[in-house]
Formats: sequence, C-alpha cells, structure tokens
Amino acid sequence: MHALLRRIHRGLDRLEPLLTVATGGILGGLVILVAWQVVARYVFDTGLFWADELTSVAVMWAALLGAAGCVWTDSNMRLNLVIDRLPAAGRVWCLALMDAVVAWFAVVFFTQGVNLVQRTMSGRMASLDIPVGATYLIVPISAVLMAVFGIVRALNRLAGHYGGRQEGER
Amino acid sequence: MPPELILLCSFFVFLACGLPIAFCLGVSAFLTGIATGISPAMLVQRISAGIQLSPLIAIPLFILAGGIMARGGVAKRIVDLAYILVGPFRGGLAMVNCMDSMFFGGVSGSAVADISSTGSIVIPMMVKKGYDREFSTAITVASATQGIIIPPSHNMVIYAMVAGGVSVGKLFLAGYIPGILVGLGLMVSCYIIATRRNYPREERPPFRQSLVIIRDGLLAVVAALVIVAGIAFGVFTVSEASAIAVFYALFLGLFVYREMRLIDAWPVLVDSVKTTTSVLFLIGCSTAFAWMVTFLQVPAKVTAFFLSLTADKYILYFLINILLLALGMIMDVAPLIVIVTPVLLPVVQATGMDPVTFGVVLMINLGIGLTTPPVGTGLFVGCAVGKTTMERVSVSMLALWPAMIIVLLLTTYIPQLTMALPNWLMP
Repeated sequence: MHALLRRIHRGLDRLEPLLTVATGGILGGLVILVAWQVVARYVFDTGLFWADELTSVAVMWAALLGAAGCVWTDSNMRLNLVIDRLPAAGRVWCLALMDAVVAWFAVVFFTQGVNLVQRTMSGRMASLDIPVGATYLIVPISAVLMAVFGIVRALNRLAGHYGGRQEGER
Repeated sequence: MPPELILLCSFFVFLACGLPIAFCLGVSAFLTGIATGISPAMLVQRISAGIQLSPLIAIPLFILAGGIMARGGVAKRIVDLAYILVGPFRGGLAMVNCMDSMFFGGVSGSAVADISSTGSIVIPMMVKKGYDREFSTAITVASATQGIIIPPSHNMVIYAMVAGGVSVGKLFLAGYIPGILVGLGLMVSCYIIATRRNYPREERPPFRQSLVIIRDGLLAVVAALVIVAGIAFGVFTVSEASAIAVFYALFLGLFVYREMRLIDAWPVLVDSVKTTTSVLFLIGCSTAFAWMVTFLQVPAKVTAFFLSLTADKYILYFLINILLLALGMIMDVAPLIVIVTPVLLPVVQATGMDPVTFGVVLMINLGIGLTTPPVGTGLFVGCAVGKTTMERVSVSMLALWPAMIIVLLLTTYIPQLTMALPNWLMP
C-alpha cells in the first residue's frame, strides 16, 4: 500500500511542475497578446477583435490549472491560527479531513462541470468561433486533478504521520 | 437551521479547520445550495463566470511586473532616489525607507514585494548606521503598506472586480492622497523617534552623481504615473496597462539597468503564477459565495443589524473600521477583500459612502492588517528579511500604528481625500 502510494506521489510530483509550466506559458502568452492590442490600436490603427474573448477564456484556464497545482503544493491561502495549536495527531487528522473536503468539492465541481460542458457545447463563441463547451473543458479537467491531489495528499498525511515520515514532505 | 447560518457557520468552521479559504467559500456555498434546493450547477457556473473576465489578467501581470522590477534593479534605484530626497534629514535613512516604499509601492503595487526587495537593501544600511534592527524592520513593514494604497495596486483591481461596477481608474486615483499621507505620517513618526534616539543624518552625494541617481530613479517612478494616467484617461484598459508594465519592467531590467537576463524572468513568472492563480480561484469561488450572500439577503440583514446598533453613520464607519482591523489581524488581504466586500459595501452605500472611498478605506485597514500579529504577511516577510522576531518588531510597531490609524480615520471621514482626484480628472 505504502509502495503504491509512494509511486503515485512521485508521479504527481512530476505532474505538478507541468501544470506550472502550462499556466506560466498561458500568462506569458497573454502578456504578449494584451500588449500587442495596444500596439495594434495605436500604431497600426486596427484591433484584434478576438483578443478579449481569448483573454477571458485563457484567464479561466490559467486560474483553474494553477489552483489545481496549488492543491498539490499546498500553497492555497488558509488560516493556520487554530490548527497550529492542535496536537500533532489532531493537526494531521484535521488537515487530512480538509484534503478530503477538497476532494468532495472537486467531485461536485467535476459532475457539474461535465453538465456545463454538455449544455454549452452547441453554442459558439462570438469571435473565436469555437464551441462554448470547449472553453469550459478546463472545469472537469481541473476538478479531476484537484480530486486526485486531495485524496493522495490526505492519504500521504496519514501515512506520513503513522509511518514515521515527516509531515512537511508532500 | 436558517440557510444564512448554514452559509456562515460552515464557512467559519472550515476556515478554523484549515481548509484553504477559496474552498471554504465554495464548499459553504455548495452546502447552503443543497440545503435550500439551489442546483450546484448554477454555483459552478458562477465560479467559472467569476474567473472568465479579461480584466482579471491585470492581477497576475501587475504582480509579475513588480517581481521583474525587484529582480531587475529598480528597487536599488528607487532607494538611491529616496536617499537624495530625504537622506539629509534627522533619521534620514528611516525616511528613505518610507519614501522608497512610496515610490516602489507605486511602481509594483505589492507590499510584500516592497518589503523583500527594498527592505533587503535598506534594513542592513540602517542597522549599520546604528538604528535598532527592530525599528528598521518595523518601518520597512509599515511603510510597505503604501504598496496596496498607492496605484497601481492589484488589490484594488480585486476589489473593483468583486464590488462590480467600480471604476479601476477612479480607485487608482483615489489611492494617491491617502497613500502619500500614510508615507508622510510615518516620516513624521520617524523624525520624532530619530530626534529622541539621536539617529544620524545622511550626507547628500555630489551634485553630478545626484543627477544620475535622479534620472535612473525617475525612469522607474514615471512608469507608475504613465500607467495610472493611461487608465484614468482611457488610453488603455487596466489589463493592457498591466501588460505594458511587464514590458516596461523588462525593458528597464534588460536594457537600462542591465541587471537581469531574459531567462531570469522565468522564475519570476513561475513565482507569480503560484501567487496569483490561487487568488484568481479565490475570486471565482467568492463569486458563488457572494451570489449566495445576496440571494439570502445577508447584506440587508447586516445593514439592519449595524443600523440597529447606531443611526449615526460616523459611529457606524468607526465600528466597521474596528471590524476590518480585527479581521485584518487574522486574515490576508485578498481573501478579506473578496469576503467582506459583498457584505459591507451595501452597508456603507446605504449611508451614502462612495464605493471608491470604501475601497480605499478597505485597503488602508487591510494594509494595517499586514503589519499586525498574529497573521501579518508583511510582518512575517519583514522579520525574515530583517532577521528578527515578530514579538520584538511588534513592540516597535506601536510607535508607527498611530500615524496609520490617523490617516485611516481622516480617509474615512473626509471623502474629499479620496474623491478629489477622481472627480477632477474623471468627472
């Protein structure tokens, strides 16, 4: 069981930097696109009519991909005031339970995200001319990542506490 | 159990148990939705819609620009510029610390970036000249709060998004006078402390060298003015301004100051990704939470509650400031903006306060919160940079908080301080 968990852990450890690179790539691309809009407007007297729509969609993709990565790296903002005062075992169980709550949230996010994709697949984006549902694909994708990260983190915390591994180790 | 109680109780219980704040907002909205028969599909759609807004790109890009400026040598030029302007006064280095935050905060918009970049330059300089390490750290942390008040400030963009319909340009202009007042108030405090402790004056560099320093420093400071003016006068949108800020920061670092290579921008980008994607997700979840808050008529009930305490709006504002200061002591800036805005904005609007003024009042409150224990991000970073402890710095902060509180009260009760510039330049 522990060996399997460690293998999954190593795999997810390799996956998370890819999410960061993807999110960084999206943001880097948006810097160029958004700045180019200004140049296009004032230098070439034209505009990129699809840029605003693309930016909105890309922000959603970056936010959800990045948020999923933050579940794995535990870098989402939280209030530590109370849990830091708990005894070690209580703290581990409390945080593991909260990881499970994240996974529950992700399951709801996934099922409703799939609904959202299906309901909006027939419509098309006004300027990008792609199915609206395709832009929402990131909702179920990020939800799957959050659910897996949440469950593995919860198991990892408990295995770390009862198996003698440091809790700080992801 | 009434649905309002389910919403608020579940939120606070999960918050106390250490669930990340974004998920606290989302999960409590889902649970309330289940209890009241509202489809979670609608809440998921709210979350997606909340982060599908093009102006939101300004938040990561302003943070990225601040990171590049810190990496590219802007911080050092701004410290040098402040040194020339206020160094020769009694306690000059402490004043340099205030003034460089005024400039760097204006350029980067991030208090934490200011503490870690200019603080790492000025704190060792101050300690070397005989200033207390704790006071040096305290003034670094306190003055850095100008970063979220003086534009461009990504926290103001978050507020504008959450408040809905508030002009970012007006908010930016409204932040100038209170932000500068915070800086001036802290400089007066520094002067008084320096006189009592006999802290030294600094010598001004030779004239020719001073001219070079002023030129280099102004190149950075002017960028902030151009960005704010561009937004205020409709030359570009807030997201375009943030992208321009990134390019300008790269231009300064790569070609003018030559202190970074293009490859150095990648770790800064990765850093800002980690900081800001969690903020963007927080905004998304807060959209579902805010919708639920409005659906359950919580703002109306909170307004009625506050008005039942007092009919006097000045006392009401005072109570709200106390509440915000208390919340600021235990929570970070962005989460508090997204949580309190949908609840408190309708309350102050009912008494005639402009949303722009409330935005600035909120920023000052939460800025002070950055400097207070037990949860003050600014204080944590400052202690790490200044190599001292939170307890010791907090004692030194006691001499600096009064100036910040006075500016907070002035801003709350004199709307002209916030509204004069927006009314004049964006009528």
